[in-house]
Amino acid sequence: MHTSDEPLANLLFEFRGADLILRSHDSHHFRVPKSYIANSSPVLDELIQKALDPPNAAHGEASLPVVQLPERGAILHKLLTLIFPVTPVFPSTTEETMELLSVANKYKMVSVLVHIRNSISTKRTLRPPYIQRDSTLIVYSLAQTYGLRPEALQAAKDLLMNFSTDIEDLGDKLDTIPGASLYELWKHHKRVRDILASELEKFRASGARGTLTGLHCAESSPFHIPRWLDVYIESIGRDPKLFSSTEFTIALAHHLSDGAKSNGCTCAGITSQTIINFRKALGSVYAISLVKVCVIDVTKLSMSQSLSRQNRLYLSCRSKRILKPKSNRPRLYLNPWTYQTQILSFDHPTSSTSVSTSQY
Amino acid sequence: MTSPFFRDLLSLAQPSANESIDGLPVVQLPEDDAELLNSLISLLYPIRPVTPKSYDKALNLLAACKKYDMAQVQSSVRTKILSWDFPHARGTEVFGAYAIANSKGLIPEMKKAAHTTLHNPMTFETLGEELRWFKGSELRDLALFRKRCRDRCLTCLESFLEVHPPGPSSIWVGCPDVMPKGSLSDPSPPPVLPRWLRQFLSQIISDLKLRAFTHPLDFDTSIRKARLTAFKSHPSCDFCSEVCAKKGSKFFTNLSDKLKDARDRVHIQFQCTQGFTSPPEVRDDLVADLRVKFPKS
Repeated sequence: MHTSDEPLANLLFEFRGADLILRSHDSHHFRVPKSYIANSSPVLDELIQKALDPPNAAHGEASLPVVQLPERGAILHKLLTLIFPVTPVFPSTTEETMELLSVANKYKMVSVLVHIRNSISTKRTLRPPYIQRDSTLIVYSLAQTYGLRPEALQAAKDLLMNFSTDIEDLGDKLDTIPGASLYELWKHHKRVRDILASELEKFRASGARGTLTGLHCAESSPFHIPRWLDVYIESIGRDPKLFSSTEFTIALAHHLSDGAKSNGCTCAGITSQTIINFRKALGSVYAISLVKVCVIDVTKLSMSQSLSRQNRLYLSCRSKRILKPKSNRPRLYLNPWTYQTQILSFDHPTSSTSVSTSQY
Repeated sequence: MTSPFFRDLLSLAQPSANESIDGLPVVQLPEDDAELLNSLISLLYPIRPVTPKSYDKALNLLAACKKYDMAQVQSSVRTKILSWDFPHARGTEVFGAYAIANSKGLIPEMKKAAHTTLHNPMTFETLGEELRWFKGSELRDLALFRKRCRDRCLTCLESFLEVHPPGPSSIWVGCPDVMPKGSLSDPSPPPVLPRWLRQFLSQIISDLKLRAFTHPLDFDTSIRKARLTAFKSHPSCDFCSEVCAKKGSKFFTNLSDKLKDARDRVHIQFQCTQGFTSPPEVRDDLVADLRVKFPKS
């Protein structure tokens, strides 16, 4: 993996066998073989075909057809390194990564998208990012603007897990992202909280799936788990940030400081294996909730797109009286990358087993 | 006659043949809303005006009048909005009205909407879909405005904790519950407000301090409720009952008025947001564009 700040002039493509020039918005020329481009992007393939049509043919200084693209040279260069057999160059900033993703998305470059997303995922695994609220808000906003669903979901999750996004807490940072994005974020978080609260209710009712057997507390909840743990689990539904090893430890410490030990409580001797089993079970509840939210989101998106398509179709066909929609039912396309989430653990919040929507 | 912009336009030469329809010159306007132009044109001629369908369209119409310097029409639209002949923002729609007015540079409408938002809580729940109108710094500006209003109200409320004349609460000094009759060693105990009044004022102050800008600043109802509750907790005091009977109503009206005055004296700070260009610049751009399209012979 390579990220580069070299001047663009040193990095421009001069590919042997080039039969096409891609010209960037800022007038950088990339001389490339069109077969590579056409194979990697159906959208660019179409643009190239149009450029090759005799009436539209625009030719550069070397009599090669020229395709004018609206992107900056720096972004196009990085995009091309992901298509051609050269060392791939990834952006060094989050903003540029989002821009590159959006361009790959726009040109329907499926394998390039996977490539970039894998690199992001690898980076996160190797070096979990220090998440900052304002930059994550910007990432969320950019992802919303560019229609990058996985990145928007990840940013929304990061924000939910780490920060309060109440309007009062955002305060003078309310201009960080547009209102429409804030509204989407708020709706998403509300859905997560609602679903999480409902799933946690089931989890409590199941006695924490039997992960706490052997733990005898003087004060039990109606679900036969220690009351302090029951209260802790319930509080995660209201504030998902509390799902962390620190908060768990604080809850345990509070319980012990209340003199639990003197009442014959065994919570002080909770084993590490019990804690591991409990957090895994709780983590899977969290993950299931996120997946359910994704499914609801994608269903809503499909429905709105379907309605929008039908509206467009209706408008275009109204005069011809040929409107025959095939089906009102939205079709659900699930991208395994997008609609997978991870079972979160307290200590390794970014790594663990995958849960896919196929389970539901 | 109605608009300097169109006067400039009429002074230009006739377009070439390919820029006309049925022999009439075609002027491309940047508005992408045919309904808006229809409403605008209906206001220029002695015909029944086409009413905009929603409050946001009414504000956009007002913005178009401003952009084309149609002062008279703008005044007429403004009157129609104020008299509810044209759609008006209702309830929490006032947040959207504020954002649109801000982005279009409609200062009077923006100020009025900003103050009207104070009757509602400002939360994501109440903002709801109105958030889509907030594109730049309008939301932060509104939050800061509401915070300044809250701060002014706090200062005002704190002045009511002052026990010495001419402080408005000095009339309540003397409640025997907190100021027992002086003894020989201390003939004049320090002036203190009755406990119920201090609790009443402190409760409102702490409620306001709790939230920077999300609370509504609508005091009439809250003061009435809190006053009744507070006074009920102190029913058997002759001193407080007498003051309440003689001056209580005036005191609480004064409190309410002072709070409203403190709140309404705060001005929203206006910033040109992204996407908004001042009307003369827009007009000049349009005229320049048209001069290219319709060069003088």
